[in-house]
Amino acid sequence: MKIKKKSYTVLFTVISSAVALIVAAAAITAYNASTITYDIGKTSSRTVFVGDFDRSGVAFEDSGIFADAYKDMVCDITRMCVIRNQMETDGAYDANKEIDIYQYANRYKDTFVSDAYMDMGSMQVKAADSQDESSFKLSYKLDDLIKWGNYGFDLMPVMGTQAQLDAYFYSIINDVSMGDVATENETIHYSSGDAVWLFDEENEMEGEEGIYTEYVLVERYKPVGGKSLIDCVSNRREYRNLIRNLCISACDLFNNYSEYVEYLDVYGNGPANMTNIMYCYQMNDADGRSVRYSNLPQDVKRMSNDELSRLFSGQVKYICYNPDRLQTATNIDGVTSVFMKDMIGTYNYSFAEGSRVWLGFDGEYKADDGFAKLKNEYNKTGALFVPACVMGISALAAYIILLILMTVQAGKVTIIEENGEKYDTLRAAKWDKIPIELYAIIVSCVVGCVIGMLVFAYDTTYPWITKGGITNMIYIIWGALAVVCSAVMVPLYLMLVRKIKCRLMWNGSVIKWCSDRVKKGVVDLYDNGQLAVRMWLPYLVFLALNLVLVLLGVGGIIIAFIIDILVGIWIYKDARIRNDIVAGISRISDGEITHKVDTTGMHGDNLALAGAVNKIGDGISKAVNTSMRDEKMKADLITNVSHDIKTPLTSIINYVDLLKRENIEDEKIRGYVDILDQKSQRLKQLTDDLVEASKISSGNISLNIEKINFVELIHQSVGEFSEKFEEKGLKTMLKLPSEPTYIMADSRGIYRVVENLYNNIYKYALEGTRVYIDMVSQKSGKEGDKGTEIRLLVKNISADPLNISAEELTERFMRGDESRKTEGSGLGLSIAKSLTEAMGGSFDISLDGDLFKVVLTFAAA
Amino acid sequence: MIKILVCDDEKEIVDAIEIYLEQEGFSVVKAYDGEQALKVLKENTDVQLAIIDIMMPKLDGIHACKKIREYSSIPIIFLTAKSEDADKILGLNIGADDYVTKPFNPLELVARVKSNVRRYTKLGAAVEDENGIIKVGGLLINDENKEVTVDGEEVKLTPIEYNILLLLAKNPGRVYSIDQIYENIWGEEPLGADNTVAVHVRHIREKIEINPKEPKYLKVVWGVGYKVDKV
Repeated sequence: MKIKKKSYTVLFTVISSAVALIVAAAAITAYNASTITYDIGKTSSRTVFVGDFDRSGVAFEDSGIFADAYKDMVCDITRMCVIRNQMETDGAYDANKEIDIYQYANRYKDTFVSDAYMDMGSMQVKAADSQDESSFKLSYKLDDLIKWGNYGFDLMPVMGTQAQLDAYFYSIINDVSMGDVATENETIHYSSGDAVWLFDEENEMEGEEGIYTEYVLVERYKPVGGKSLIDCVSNRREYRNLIRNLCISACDLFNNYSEYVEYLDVYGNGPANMTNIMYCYQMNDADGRSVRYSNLPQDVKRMSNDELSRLFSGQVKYICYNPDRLQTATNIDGVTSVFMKDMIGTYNYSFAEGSRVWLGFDGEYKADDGFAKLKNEYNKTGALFVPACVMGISALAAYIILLILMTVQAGKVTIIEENGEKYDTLRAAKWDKIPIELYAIIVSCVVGCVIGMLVFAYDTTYPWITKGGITNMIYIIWGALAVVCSAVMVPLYLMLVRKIKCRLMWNGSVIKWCSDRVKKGVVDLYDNGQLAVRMWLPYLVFLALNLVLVLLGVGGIIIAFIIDILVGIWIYKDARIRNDIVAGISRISDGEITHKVDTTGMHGDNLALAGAVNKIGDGISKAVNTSMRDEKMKADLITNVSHDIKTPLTSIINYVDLLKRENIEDEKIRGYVDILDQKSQRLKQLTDDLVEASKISSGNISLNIEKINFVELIHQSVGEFSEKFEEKGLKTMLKLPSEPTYIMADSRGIYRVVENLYNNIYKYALEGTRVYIDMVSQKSGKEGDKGTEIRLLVKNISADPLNISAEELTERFMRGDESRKTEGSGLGLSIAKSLTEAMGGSFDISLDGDLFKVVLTFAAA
Repeated sequence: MIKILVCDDEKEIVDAIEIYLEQEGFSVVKAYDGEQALKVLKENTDVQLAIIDIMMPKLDGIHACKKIREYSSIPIIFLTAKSEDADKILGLNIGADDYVTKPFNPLELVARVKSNVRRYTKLGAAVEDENGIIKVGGLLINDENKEVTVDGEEVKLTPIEYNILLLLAKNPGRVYSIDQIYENIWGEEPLGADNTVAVHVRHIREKIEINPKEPKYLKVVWGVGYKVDKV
């Protein structure tokens, strides 16, 4: 026997892994082709998914990506102009520019309060405080503030009760000697080491109000005018506010300065080719004068607003925004007045009445900036997207088809027998027979590993991808991952398919093994155990279980109750099965010998009992069948043989008759011929009777049962035999009912019975005696039969002593030994008895000395 | 001389039948199987009756009978060892006129042959349609002169026997019980019915029937009564 596998698992797995590799590569390529990572101005790089698949005909400048990038850049430029406004005077950085710290710190007014400076320790500045001091004015040089912001403030804590602090500040208001302060924070340095302790350390709990801390600034730079800070304030609260405003201004200015330096490189009017964007912002400086910031080569200061608007409107892309009217003229998608208002709104302090914003893009890409790169990317990426998608989807489809094919083929083998016979079948591989539980563990491990690898690969490659570089490494990592996943998962999947196909899911599982063991053990105990073990062990277990459960409390009682109900049901089922067996026995005993008790689901005693009953039934039905078949065969044999006998017999009878017709003189010869005649007639009778007897006893006759007047029949039959009886001097004594008496019988059959009886009488009755024929109607003697029955009694005196039993007389071929010499087949009574019984009657013979008595009994119709 | 075909595969039976029939003045042509019978019938177109065995080699009696019936309406008597009712019914249904089971009484066979021949030759077409004549098959009852003939042969009946037969033949198919017959014939209530009527009926049967045990005209319905069948 040769087994030819048709599943091609290895081949399929290799192919599918290759296809998976293609899918992965196509996916990465498609992703790469559909995303653009760009870096415009100061905005950090972002990755944009190119939603539109077919970008042919859409110029880069008209694309959404351009609009988004442009908007990003507008935000940057706006911010830069605002910062320039803070840093520059007449278009150049002015280190000596005077900054009013109150005005600067509160430039956002109530629109924006920096959270960062809200929480400066115990200074507990409230936004509301700043309102009160709008009238204060204190200016520093820009350079000093930036440096201060850069290198940090030194604050010296002074601790004491409120009263002590008040007194302290009052004393130093005109005396500036604060000493050095250590640093702790990057910007604001607290020093506890050199703190001024205004309270007595030994008397810490002095006063009820507790200890407070106040900070005193170390004045590294003096304000314009050279006054000390202390001189500018009149109390602790004002001092605190002053310090806060100073800190905010210094820090903001420093941060802005660093941005300014950076922006100026990119957007400023330094080298002209740094950016492809053109702008001109008209805003107001701190003193409220109108200034313009632009990177245009023209002298924008001298141009009127209308000239600028015309200039920018001529650009490929432009935005002209008038904040006064909220009017925006643009040809860029998504740029609306609302967008411009929100963007500028942040810097309201710089955009007072009369401000204007002009932005343009000439589309010549003179500068190698972000837009130029973006345009390059944009034109490049689209090309591969559609092919990659098509390839990826078709590879995926191929993969799915492969999976389906593998699913269909899994486990199929062709078996070639040695005789060349071929047939297809399913066969599981050796390792498919591992229990499903083990399989599940393996699969979970593998899936876990795969997920881990995926996560790792994602984590590793995501930063690379977002940085915009789809490197070969990414292809290698994801490709390898796809191949490994496919190569590992596909065989496992196919194994599952084979397990399902070969029905190995439940079979061979550990759970099934366990449950089989338990079931077998219980059944073994029940089927084979000793009677005592079988009965008492379960009963004791049942009792113990009940007891234990009841002791466990309410929950236990409920469980015990459920168990008791289940046991009750089981006992009922057992009893019902027994009942079925009893029913089966009674059916068999009632003659339905082919009945079988269904033994499915039976165990123990019931099974043995049912098996025995079925065996008995089998035996009976076998015996009956055999005897029926034998009887039928006998009848057929007799019929056939008699047919064969009849033909020569015909000749014998005919030629004997011819002989008799010859006038034979010789007495002796005539005597011989007479004997021949007699014997041939008897042979004829014998064959006829034989056929009839065998037919009746094998049930091979058709009876037409109808209502028959038994009295009439007796009259008719006696009439038929009157001369025969007279011949022998037999006198019939009839005692029949005067009214018609009906029975159910076949009319010819019942006459045949009576005829045989009369023939018997004619042959064997003592000559010159009386024959009594009585008919009585009486209550049925049969048990359970309430109807009446008709009995015909025929009595006569036998000529010869009856030396055999009544039973033997009705046996076939039986006659009184002495009477063997007389004519007759000896079958008459047998036929009569069989026929009577076939018609539902009974035929009884009793012998009393020479009295021969026959009783025929039929149920009254 | 009337020519009769006797066909049986047992030569001795054919010979014996020949002897009986020749004694009665018939001439006999013999055949020993179905095919031969058909051949002989074709050669002797003047055959007026055929006695055919059912179980024969080559062509059995049933088929031979069917073939004969295709061109001839001569009486056919089946001769067979098969005695079941079903066999008899089959034989009669396919066109046989009579049926004799083996072993047969030669005299009965001769009587049946005579009866069938008479009916075929003399009475076949000549139906006497006179008033007062009751006809049941071959049985004629002339009520004018109280004469009864069976297949043309006169039968002597006693007045009571005649009346019983007349009663039954006048109402063919109807079954008369012993009491009804008694009432009709004797004109009085039967006083404790006895077997008188039964004896008379048996006597009638013995006179008009070829085989009284298998009556053709006056039939016994056991346990019910007697009747003359419609023909």
